[in-house]
Amino acid sequence: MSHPSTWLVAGPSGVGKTRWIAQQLQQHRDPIYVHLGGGSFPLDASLLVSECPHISLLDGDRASLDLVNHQDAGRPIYLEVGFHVALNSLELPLTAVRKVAIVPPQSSGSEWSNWADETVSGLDVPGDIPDEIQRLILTTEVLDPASLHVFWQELTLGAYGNVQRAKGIFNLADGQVFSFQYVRRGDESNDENNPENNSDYRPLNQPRTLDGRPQQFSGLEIVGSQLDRSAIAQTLQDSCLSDATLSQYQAYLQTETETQSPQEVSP
Amino acid sequence: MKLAVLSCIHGNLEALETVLGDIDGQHCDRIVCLGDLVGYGPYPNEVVDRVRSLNIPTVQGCWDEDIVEGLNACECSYPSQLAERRGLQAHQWTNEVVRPDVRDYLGQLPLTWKEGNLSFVHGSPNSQHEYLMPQLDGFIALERVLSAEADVLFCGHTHIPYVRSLEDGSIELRVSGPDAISQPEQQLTTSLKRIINAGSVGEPRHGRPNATYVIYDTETENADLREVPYDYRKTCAAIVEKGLPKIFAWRLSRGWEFAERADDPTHLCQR
Amino acid sequence: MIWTTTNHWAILSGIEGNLAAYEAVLKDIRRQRIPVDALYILGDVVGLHPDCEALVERLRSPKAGEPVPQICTGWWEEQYFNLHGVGGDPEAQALREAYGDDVLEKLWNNLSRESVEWLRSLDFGFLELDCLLIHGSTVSPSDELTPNTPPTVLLDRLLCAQANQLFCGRSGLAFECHLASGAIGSQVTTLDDHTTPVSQTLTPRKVIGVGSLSRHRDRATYTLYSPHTNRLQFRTVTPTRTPVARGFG
Repeated sequence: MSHPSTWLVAGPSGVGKTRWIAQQLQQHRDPIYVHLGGGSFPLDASLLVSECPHISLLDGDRASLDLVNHQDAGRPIYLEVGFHVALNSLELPLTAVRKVAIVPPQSSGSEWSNWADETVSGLDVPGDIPDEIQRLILTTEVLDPASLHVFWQELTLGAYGNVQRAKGIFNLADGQVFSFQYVRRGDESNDENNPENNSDYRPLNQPRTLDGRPQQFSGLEIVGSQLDRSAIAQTLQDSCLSDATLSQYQAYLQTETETQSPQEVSP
Repeated sequence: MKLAVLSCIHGNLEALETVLGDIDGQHCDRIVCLGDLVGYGPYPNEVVDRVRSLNIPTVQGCWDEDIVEGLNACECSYPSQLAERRGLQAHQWTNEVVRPDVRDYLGQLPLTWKEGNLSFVHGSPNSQHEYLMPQLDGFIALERVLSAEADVLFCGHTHIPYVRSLEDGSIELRVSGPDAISQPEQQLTTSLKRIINAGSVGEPRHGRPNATYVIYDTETENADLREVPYDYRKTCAAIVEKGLPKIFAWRLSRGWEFAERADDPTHLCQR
Repeated sequence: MIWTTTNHWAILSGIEGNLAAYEAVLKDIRRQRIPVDALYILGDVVGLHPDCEALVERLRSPKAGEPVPQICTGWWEEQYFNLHGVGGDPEAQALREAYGDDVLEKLWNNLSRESVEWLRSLDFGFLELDCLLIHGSTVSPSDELTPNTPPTVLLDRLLCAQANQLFCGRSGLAFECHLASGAIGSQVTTLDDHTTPVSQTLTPRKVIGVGSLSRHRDRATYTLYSPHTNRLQFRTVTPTRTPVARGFG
């Protein structure tokens, strides 16, 4: 007999909370996921759904009553606590909650490990709390991939301020949706001229949008300090496709899939 | 004779002054400039004034042309939409500050300069916009040197300096058909040809912020790629102060050029 | 079962409005023992000849059993575009230098606006298998390759198009330039690197001039090519002279 339960997962920025939850979710049939402190910015939730389509999402700010009902019904519940949420402020109407802290290796005695019932070793990230979280909603925007690559390189190398963690869901011109994730490591594996080492890019398992603008959530979350919001927004704006360019591109993609030969030579 | 060849200064006066000092220290006899005096950097007028005051023979670069003729770059100059937008911002800013006499000077610059068996161009003999990358097919590279009717072809435009030697070129040609007017069999052989890319004084892209140029000794035929540190912080401060995008300063300080640029060696601009 | 590739190509250029020459070539094509299943026309379908309008009509409506011609634009098409204000040289300078100012009116009367529009819908060239089929080269329709063009230039045009064979029509000449072999050594030195010399050899490639239908008054030259056997054959036919109605005075 299984023991469905409720897990409260906390830890510093970039340590791998969402990743750990995604692994746990695989063993459940109808799990529920709530992001506390995510506000109206469902980035982690969108990433999780693309990996675990079987989960149910609840809005963290208004979930209390529902959660009690679900717990009573015996469904497994994972609550992710944003690193910026004070642990002692958490008041949950739930019983039998297992507190899990994901912490960097070789860190002991931190606020998180003292609070938790169970400690899991995550990525080696700085333990300090960063100053800022900046969130940018990009839903319906489609990016030029080459421009996005330049922006990401500049962002993660510090052109727009001190970045500790960056994650984004981006719609690309070819209709694919990609997740970009960057974590600055606390250890020596930082190669500052090669941020790709600390970045992870993967296509999300979603149907390609080849007609019009994509409607599902996309956006960017940056954790760090002294972030230049206007310059970041400007660069992203310069990387987004206009309606005309997008429809031109989509028309090309559609004909490309229809006909192959003979190839026309352009001047 | 020791010949200093400069390229792609891009309004970076600080870098130019430092390089001119280095040229003095190296006891060069003459200087030739491969264009792109303006664009991206904060001191376009001052750079042109300095080059003119020294009577440096200069060929026209793509940025010099665009400031005179209006933006006319091939889309291949801009590998991304972002680079294009940034290029446009730099163009508009430069276009506003450039003095009329500077514009006239840029407009009358020749596309090529020849001294004996040396030929000087900005991009390639075909066009100011064509990139001669070091990995370019050897036969195409040979064709560019031959079409310049030179033994040594000096170019810039890629912002990364290199010397490429092309040795023992040979092509066997057989001609047939009703209108085969020439000899049925021909053998083309070429002596040593070289392409020397002078890099960039004001907008380096080799991953370090230092200015680059080249010194060519016409007697020994030795090419010395020079890398000269300068106070790039001064240029970065001027970029921000003059209202150019801050990201230009950040990229300059990393030796990454102001905007990224085409680096597909197989792509040849045919404009 | 569907055959996806064609086996026998007829490639021609420089009709320049000469309908009689085109008919003569079509007749010769029909006579081929191995049936021709692809017809490429490498530009200059129109020119100074008074039959341009009829020729365009003929191209647009091939008869039953004839291969549908695949046509790209050439130097003369560019001149018509210039004349109609949709070309790259609105002053038609190159045309006037070559043929004088009087030629403008002649061209203007030679072809309807609708036919010019149709010409504008044509391709710039074709990449088929390892062949580039084009009027001049990828550089421009006026790029003229001949047997006297330096081999490095021929090779440049082939390599830039990433083709093993380049069929062109600008010169009007029928020829085959076979770049049979070649080699070059190369060494690159950068600020941080001194690479070892690399030696590069040339894979054989060809530039083929496909001839012209109207360059010579009494004969038309075109080219047959079998992509699978690489067999190339130049054909010369003599068009029957169409009686041109002449008035007096």
